[in-house]
Amino acid sequence: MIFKILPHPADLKIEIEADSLAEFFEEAVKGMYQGAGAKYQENGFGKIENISLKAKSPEQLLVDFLNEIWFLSQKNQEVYLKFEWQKINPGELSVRISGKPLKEFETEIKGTTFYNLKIVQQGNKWQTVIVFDI
Amino acid sequence: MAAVSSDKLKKIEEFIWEIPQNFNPKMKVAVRIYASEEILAAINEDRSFEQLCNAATLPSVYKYVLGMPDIHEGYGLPIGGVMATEIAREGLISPGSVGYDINCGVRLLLTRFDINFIKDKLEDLIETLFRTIPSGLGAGGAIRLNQTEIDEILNTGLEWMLKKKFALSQDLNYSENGGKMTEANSDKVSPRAKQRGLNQLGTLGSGNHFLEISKVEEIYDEESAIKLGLKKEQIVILVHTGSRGLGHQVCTDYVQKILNSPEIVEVPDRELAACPFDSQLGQDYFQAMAAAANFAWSNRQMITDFIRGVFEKKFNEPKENVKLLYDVAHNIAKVEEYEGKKLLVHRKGATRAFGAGNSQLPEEYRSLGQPVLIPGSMGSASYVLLGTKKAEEKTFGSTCHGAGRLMSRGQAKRQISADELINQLNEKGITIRSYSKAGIVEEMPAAYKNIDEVVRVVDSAGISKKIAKLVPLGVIKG
Repeated sequence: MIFKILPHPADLKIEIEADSLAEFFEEAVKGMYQGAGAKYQENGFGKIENISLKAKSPEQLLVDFLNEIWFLSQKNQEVYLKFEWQKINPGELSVRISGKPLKEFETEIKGTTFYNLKIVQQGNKWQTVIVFDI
Repeated sequence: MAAVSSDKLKKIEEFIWEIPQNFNPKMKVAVRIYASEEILAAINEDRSFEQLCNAATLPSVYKYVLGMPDIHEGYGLPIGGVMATEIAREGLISPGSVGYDINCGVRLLLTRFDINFIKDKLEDLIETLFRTIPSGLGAGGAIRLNQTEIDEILNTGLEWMLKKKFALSQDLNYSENGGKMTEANSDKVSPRAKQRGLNQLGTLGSGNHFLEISKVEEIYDEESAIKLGLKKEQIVILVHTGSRGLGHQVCTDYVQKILNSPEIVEVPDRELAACPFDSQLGQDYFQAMAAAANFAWSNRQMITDFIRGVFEKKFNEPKENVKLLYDVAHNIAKVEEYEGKKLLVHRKGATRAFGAGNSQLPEEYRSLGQPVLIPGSMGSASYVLLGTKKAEEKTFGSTCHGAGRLMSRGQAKRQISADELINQLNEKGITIRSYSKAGIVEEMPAAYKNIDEVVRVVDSAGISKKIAKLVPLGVIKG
């Protein structure tokens, strides 16, 4: 499982690879938080939230998921790095997320974009490059 | 669309380059780019030409898609892009061609003071402003709105600010649209977007947002400068911020709605997702965008009131003596008329630049043209220009908005440390305050194109006219 921040003149561009769809979505969240310079209380406890989403494509599902995570992070001032998946497939997900108190974000994620977004599955491997407006 | 290199461009006039319509069979119009050779060489390294060509494939796009000299790669329409769609021909509206930070914009405040008065008070002034005006991410504002208030701001913008005595009547006069787009409808803004905006009024945000105390360094047109109230050595203040999380959420909501709508038009890049302007969804987005724009004007106004409060307390300066020169939006879509046609002009990182005689300008500026404010990067110059009739003829009344990024943030951080950069800026006489050291480095001058060259292009091409150059003395970075 990896995410890698790629060069981009203005925005945040992240390459994500993982061995399962669930890990793929988790790595995308981690990449987003790293790109945002998230600092949090490692030993703290935050809220538990449930996210259920349906979408017409895995790309749309990923964008909607990341936007939801960011919204909750802003609203609750937390980061979400623990995921308990009830369901995940390319068109639907249901997950319980646990938060840790946020200390700060260095950079604001204005939006998760669909720019050139294509999720590729080869066997069990999932891969994409995603751009966030910052 | 494949990558487009600068050798595909045809020079049609000094500073104007074209990618012809037949470059790609899907393009409905040509692409025109305002640039010098120096700037073209820099643009060639990103995908902004390709993104302009993608926009040129949209149905109803009118005449040409434009790139300003500060253009850089983004998503959908690139930053520095201008695209007009013809409303009568099922003109499209595209949230990604406005951007997530709806009505990100800049305003310039004038003071009565000059550098001799301020120089030994500058550090203290910057520190006070830094403590007064929330900046950085997660920083809630000093103002906590309720649901009724946020709806009023969304619907009436600066009118509400005036009613609450956060604005002076002159502020409405010197903002685009009087600081209120009348098309706004708070019902079209989601509860989630409103929730994000409740504690963000009067906040700078982060990234390239800033408040800058500057000095007027040079005057290029003495007569116009006098009429604008500018003179050499004068202390002025730039404020650059937008609609914060509220605006971001509006864009997110409507990109999603359009992608899920049967009215969606096929596009080469989903961030160009568009629907007919006259459709219910198109109108819903436009009304929500207008509401977010009103929030952004109100945000810059609240910060202005904070600044006036600081000047009042520190210098016994009446609020009306800190005057608004003008406030411009650079991420917005407006209905405007050109060549007898009603067009929806999308400006994404581009500034409106109406010329002299335009009836939408306040009376005091009608003989001059619209003030255009072009902030440079942190530590570099900024400019005041005037819009021109030529801009109305050639660029849908548009010009550049800033310097335009060249370098990724990661690359910037590898060039220099925050402490080294702060020292360099201090040695130039520039005081920086920010909650994030990493953020300071990301915004270093070398990460951007040469602002002097960008402004030279628009001035030489006749789409804006240089009036004054400002240099920074103190910067509060968001």
